[in-house]
Amino acid sequence: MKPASFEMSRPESLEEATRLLADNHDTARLIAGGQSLVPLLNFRLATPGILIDLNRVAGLAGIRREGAALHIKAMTRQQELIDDPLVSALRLYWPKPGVRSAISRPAAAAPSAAALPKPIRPPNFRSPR
Amino acid sequence: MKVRCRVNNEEAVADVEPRLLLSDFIRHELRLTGTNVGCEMGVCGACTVIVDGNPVRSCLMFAVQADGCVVRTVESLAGEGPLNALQVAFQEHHALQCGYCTPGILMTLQALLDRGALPSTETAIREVLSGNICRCTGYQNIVDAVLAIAQ
Repeated sequence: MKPASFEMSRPESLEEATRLLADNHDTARLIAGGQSLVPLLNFRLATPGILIDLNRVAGLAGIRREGAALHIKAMTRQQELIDDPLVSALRLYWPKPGVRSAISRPAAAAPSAAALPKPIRPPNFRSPR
Repeated sequence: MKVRCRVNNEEAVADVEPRLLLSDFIRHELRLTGTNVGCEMGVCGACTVIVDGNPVRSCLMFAVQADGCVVRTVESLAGEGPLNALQVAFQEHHALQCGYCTPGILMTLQALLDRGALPSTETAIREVLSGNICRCTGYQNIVDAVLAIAQ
């Protein structure tokens, strides 16, 4: 097994997830699509004590239009974005994502810093150190 | 940690460490060695399996995350019977040489076939294959095999 040992929790509500995060804030990492975090775990560049898996938390994914803005929730898969009619109408250039990649991916880890078209990078996006 | 899922139409139940990757679970615990592991960082696509209808990199998912899911590996395509249409097309068009990438490519394409989304133009086929790296064929014969299926 490549990653170091960790505990895994798979909360089903936002309340449960945030409570787990608050209780373990010094050792926890959130896992969404895992397309960036899992390689870091495999190389042991990340060695969290507990992984909080967001894949079962209801209500974290979805795309909706509000006036001129698109609201894209953080667990929306990049593939869902590409397939979405509202998004494809914008005619953005897409690098190839992983099917499981969540939209939050570039904010979470370094390897894919430029993997999203600029207009829909998350507001907390920052270049890796 | 308990994982219970359906793999190739059979119930799989195991108690595993959370850090066990789905690829290693499939190969080492279930002994389904048709799924190959290449780069182990999500780039090459060799370990692609179908989870709940979507093609996913099994090296970037933990076994416990497949709890409650339906998983298909390359072994499910033919089972004990003859090769399925996709496999026959690969054979007829010589779409593989060493074969290491082939299970991942087949599962990527099978997921699209299952949802009726297999493209029929060469450009679109190359696009859907872009997540799977092949170091032998130069891709042309793979594209030819998919074109034959799509038409």
